[in-house]
Amino acid sequence: MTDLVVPFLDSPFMQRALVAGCLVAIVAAAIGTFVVLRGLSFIGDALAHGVLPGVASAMILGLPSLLGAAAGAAVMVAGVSLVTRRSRLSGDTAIGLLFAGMLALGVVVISRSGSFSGDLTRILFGDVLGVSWGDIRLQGAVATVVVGLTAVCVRPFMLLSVDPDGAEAMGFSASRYHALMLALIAVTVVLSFQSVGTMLVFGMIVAPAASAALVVHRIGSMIALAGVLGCLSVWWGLAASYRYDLAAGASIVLVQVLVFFVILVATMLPRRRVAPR
Amino acid sequence: MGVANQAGQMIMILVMRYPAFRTPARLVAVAVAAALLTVLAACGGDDGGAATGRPTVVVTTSPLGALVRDLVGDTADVEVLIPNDLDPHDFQPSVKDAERLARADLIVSNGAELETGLEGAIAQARRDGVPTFVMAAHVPLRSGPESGHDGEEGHDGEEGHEHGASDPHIWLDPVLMARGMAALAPVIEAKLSVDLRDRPAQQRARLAELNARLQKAAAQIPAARRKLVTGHDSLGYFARRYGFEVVGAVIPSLSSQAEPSAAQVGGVVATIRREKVPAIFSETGTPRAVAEAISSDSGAKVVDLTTHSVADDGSYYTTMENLMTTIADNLRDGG
Ligand SMILES: [Zn+2]
Repeated sequence: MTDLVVPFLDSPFMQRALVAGCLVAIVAAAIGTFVVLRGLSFIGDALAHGVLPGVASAMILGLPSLLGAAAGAAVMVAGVSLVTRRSRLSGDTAIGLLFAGMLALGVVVISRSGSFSGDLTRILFGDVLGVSWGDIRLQGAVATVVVGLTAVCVRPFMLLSVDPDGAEAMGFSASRYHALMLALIAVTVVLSFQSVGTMLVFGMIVAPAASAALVVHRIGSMIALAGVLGCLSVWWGLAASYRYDLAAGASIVLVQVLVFFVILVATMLPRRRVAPR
Repeated sequence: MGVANQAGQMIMILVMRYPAFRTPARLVAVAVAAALLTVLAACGGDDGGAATGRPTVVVTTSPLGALVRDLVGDTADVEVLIPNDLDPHDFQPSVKDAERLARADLIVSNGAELETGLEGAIAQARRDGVPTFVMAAHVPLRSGPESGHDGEEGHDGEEGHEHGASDPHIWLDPVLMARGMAALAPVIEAKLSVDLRDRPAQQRARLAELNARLQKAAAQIPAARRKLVTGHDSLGYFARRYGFEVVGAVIPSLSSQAEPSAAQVGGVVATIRREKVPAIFSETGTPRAVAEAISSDSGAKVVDLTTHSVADDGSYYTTMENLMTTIADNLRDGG
C-alpha cells in the first residue's frame, strides 16, 4: 500500500506525471466513450499515428510540437475525406492508406534529422516523466475546452451513436457532428501524445471507455466510470513503474488494458453460473 | 534503377486490379505519376566519389572517421556513413548507405552493438567480400551496469569477464583508440595496398599527447567533484581513464534508445541531491524533457555535451578537448 503513495510524496516529477496523466485520462474518457460506442477506433488510431510527421517536422523547425501534431491531424482528416469522396475506395482503405503514409513520412523525416532535437522513440512512447508545470497548464486549458464542448454536444453525440437517422430527423446534422467528433478525437490525441506517445495514446482513449462500457450503459455513467478507471490506471501505472522499474508510459497503458480484461472476466463469471440451470 | 522498376510494376498491378484505373484519362494520370517517380528515383542516384581512383574506406561513426582520416592521409578516401549529428544507436541505413558499404574497399565499424541498425548491411557487405575491421574486437571492453541499482562498488577494474552487455563507447578513451588504431594500420596497408609511412607512429604520439593534456585538465577538478551524470551510460571508459565516477544517467543504459522508468528517474534525482552534482550532461538521443524534469527536481543544470559526434572542425583531438573542457567548466564551479 505504501508503494502506491510514498513515491508521489517527495518526488515532484511523479506529482507532475500523475496530474498530467489524469488530465489525459479525463479527456480520453469523454471522447473515448463515443469512440467506443460509434466504432471509430480505426480512424482514431490512424489519427494518433498521423500526427507523427507533424511532430517530427515541428521539432526540426523548432516549433512547438503541439502545433505540428495539430497540423498532422488536420492533414490526416482532410486526406481521408478526400480519398473517400473522390474515389470508390472504402473509408477503411482510405484510413489505412493515410495511416501508413503518414507513419512512413514521420519515420523518413526523423531518420535524417539531428537527434538533439528529439527522436522516434520519444515521439512513439512519450515522456510522461518529463512534463513540466507549463505543459500541464496548457493541457489543462485544452482539456477544459474539450470536456466543455463534449458536455454541450452530449445529446447529438449520443443520438449519433445510437440512431444516426433519428438524429437527422430531429434536426441535428449528422455529418457536422461527425466532423466535430473527429476534430475532438484529434485534439485529444494531440493533447495526450506528449505524455504517452503516439503508439500508446490510443490505449488511453479506448481502454478505460471500453472497460466502462462493460459495466454500465448510460452514457453519463460510462464517461464518469471511464474517467475514474483512467485516473486509477495512471496512478497504479506510475506506482508500478516506480516499484518495479518499468517504462512509465507503457506501464500506464498496460494497467488500463489489464483493468479491461479483469472487468471482462468478472462480468463473464455470473453469466456462467446462470447458464447451466 | 530497381526502385523505379518496382514502382512501375506496382502501378501496372493497380491498373489491372481496379477497373477505375482503366479509363484513358486515368491511364494518362497514372503514366504521368510513373514518369515522375522514375525521375525522382533517378535524381537520388548520382554516384559521388569513386572518381579519384584511390581506394575507399567507409567508417560508420564520425569520431572513428576522424581518426581513420588522420591515419590514411591522402592514400585513400574516407567516407563517414552516419552523419555527424545523428545518434549512432538509432541510425537506420538507406539503400544508398548499403550501396556505399557494398562498394567499399574496407569497412571500419565501432561494433559492440553501437550501430545496431547497420549490422545487417555490414554483414551483407562482408558476405560479398568487403573486408571489415571492428574496432571493439581489438580493445578490452568494459561491461555495463547489469540493472542500474548496484551503484556503490563501481564495477570497473576487472576487464574481460563478461556479465551484462559490453560498453561500445570506446572512442571516448584516447588510450584505447591508440591501441585500436595500431591494430587497424597494418590491416589498411594490407587490404588497400597502400604505404602509411610514419603516420601510424605520428598518430600514436598525438594520441599520447592528447591523453597527457586530458589527464592534466582532469586533475584541475577537485577529486570530490569528479562525479558525472550523463544522458545515457556513455562515459564509462572516459571516467575510468580520467578518474571520474559516473553516478547516474537520465537513461541508465548503454544505448540512448531505452525507455526511462519512474524508479530510474527518482534514483537519479536522489543521487544528484545526495552527491551534490551540479550538472546533467545531455547527449545525442537524450530525452530532453526528462533531463529538464530531473534538473528542476534536483537543482542541477542541463548541459549539452558532444559525445557521439565530432567538433565542427572535424578533429578527434578538438572533440576530446572540448569534452573535457565542458565537463571541467561545469563541475569546477558547481557544487
Ligand atoms: Zn551512446
